[in-house]
Amino acid sequence: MLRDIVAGVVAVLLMYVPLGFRDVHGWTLYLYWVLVAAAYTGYAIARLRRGV
Amino acid sequence: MIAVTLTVLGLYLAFGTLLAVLARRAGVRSSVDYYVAGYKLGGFLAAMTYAATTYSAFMIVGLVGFAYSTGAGSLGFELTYFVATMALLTVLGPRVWELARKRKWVSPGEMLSDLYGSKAVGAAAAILYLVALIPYMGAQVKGIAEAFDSLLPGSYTAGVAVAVAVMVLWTLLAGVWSVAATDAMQGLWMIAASLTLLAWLVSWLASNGVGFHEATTLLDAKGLLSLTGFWAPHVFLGFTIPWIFFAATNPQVVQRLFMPRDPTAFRRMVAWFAVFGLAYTVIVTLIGLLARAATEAGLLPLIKSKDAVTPTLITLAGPGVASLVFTSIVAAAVSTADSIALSVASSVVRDLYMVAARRPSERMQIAVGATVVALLIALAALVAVARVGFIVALSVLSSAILLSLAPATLMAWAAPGRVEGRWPAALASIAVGASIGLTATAVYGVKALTTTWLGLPVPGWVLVASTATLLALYPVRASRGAS
Repeated sequence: MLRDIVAGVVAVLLMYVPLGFRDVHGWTLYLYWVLVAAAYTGYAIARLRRGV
Repeated sequence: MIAVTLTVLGLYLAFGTLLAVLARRAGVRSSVDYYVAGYKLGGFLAAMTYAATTYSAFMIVGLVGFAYSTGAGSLGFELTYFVATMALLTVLGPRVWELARKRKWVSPGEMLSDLYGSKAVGAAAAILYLVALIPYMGAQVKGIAEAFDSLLPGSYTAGVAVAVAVMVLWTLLAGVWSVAATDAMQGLWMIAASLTLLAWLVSWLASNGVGFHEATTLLDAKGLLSLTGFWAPHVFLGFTIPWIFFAATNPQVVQRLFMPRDPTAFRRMVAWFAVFGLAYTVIVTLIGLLARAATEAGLLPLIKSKDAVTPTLITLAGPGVASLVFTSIVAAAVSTADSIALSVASSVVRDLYMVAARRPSERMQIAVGATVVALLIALAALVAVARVGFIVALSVLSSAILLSLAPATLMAWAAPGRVEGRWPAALASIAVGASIGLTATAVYGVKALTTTWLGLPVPGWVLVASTATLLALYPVRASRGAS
């Protein structure tokens, strides 16, 4: 349970990281957000299947 | 094009009504059947109704326009909501599902009353839902009306009338059964239409000499692929804080946690919602960004109104694409608004009416709920006619007011046995947070989201104040049943 709470909080905080790196170019910022969301989604679904 | 679009819309309305009528076969005999499908919803239906309820006209109209005008930051804002929702559904969702069927919760207010041991908490939540969700429903009606107006200038009011008629009909036919059945159709329609619009936009750009590389260069030159000036830290915080807690504060989605028939159905609901949510967010923001690339390439004039971007694209696309997307706007708005209306009605019936009335019959509970549904949709229509604010702001504003429910709800979900009797803390927490949210809304209007006090946006203060109040009064324990 604690591990999952920490993982969820870390994933949400990671979404705010770009606020400190405003000047990026190309699709870097876009891909960063998509990858964080996709990675956490994969983790969350796997944990749910095992029974959190 | 108008004839084709209206024909497709007519077919969609006819098929949806047929589904809603067929849903009556599920047998609505009690308020439990009417509001939470008798706790018997399968995984796919649960997922589609969760997704279609969550993703409203806000996405295909509001977020497209937001991405168009503010750039990639809009994706970060929307995916922050998505990640936080996945975390809540994974960590606390299974527990809420289990408790709901053990304790026979129907409305989210009833859940709070039961956990804190006082009906006053549920009543406070029901009143807050009534106040906060009318602008959100108004945003849905506005989405449909804007789409009508772009298709047929001057038909804004007719759009409002169509929206009201469909919402009332599909909600009242079989309660949540008809809502869930039509949501499944509407969810599939929404994703198919957004994909089609994206494919058309990519091919239209390519045929005009704007490939992926050119689009990237054009967007980059305007800084739209990095955080634009719009996305100052306090603005990003002001927009995201209310939505991080959306899954715990908005009754229409909290109630959906009660409905899956077994743990497998619950897991399937979360997994399918995840696939839908991530894909839909990416598609919708790409549409907005590529539309902006078209503007920068001189293919489109600069569209100043955020809510007018999708309607403008519709007028450019061929009748096939236009009719599909136009109908998907109606689908997205209807599926969200009817779920909210039903959910708020369940709270009004279970947490206000049943507390005041003496042993109301099941039939009476459903009749009162149906009346509340009709009234809510009528009020939402009035908000739409008044044309207050743009869709994104109206949507997030509702969640900012509901944010005051987040600390009390999360505390109860995390430690359900320990909060019993601590209703004074919950009530005070909701009252303090809601007072700040409502006062700020009255003073600043939709700008309440981004207004800062001592550097912190108003939603941040709602969260801090309601959390501090809950913690300060947490040691106070009163007897169960007192209010």
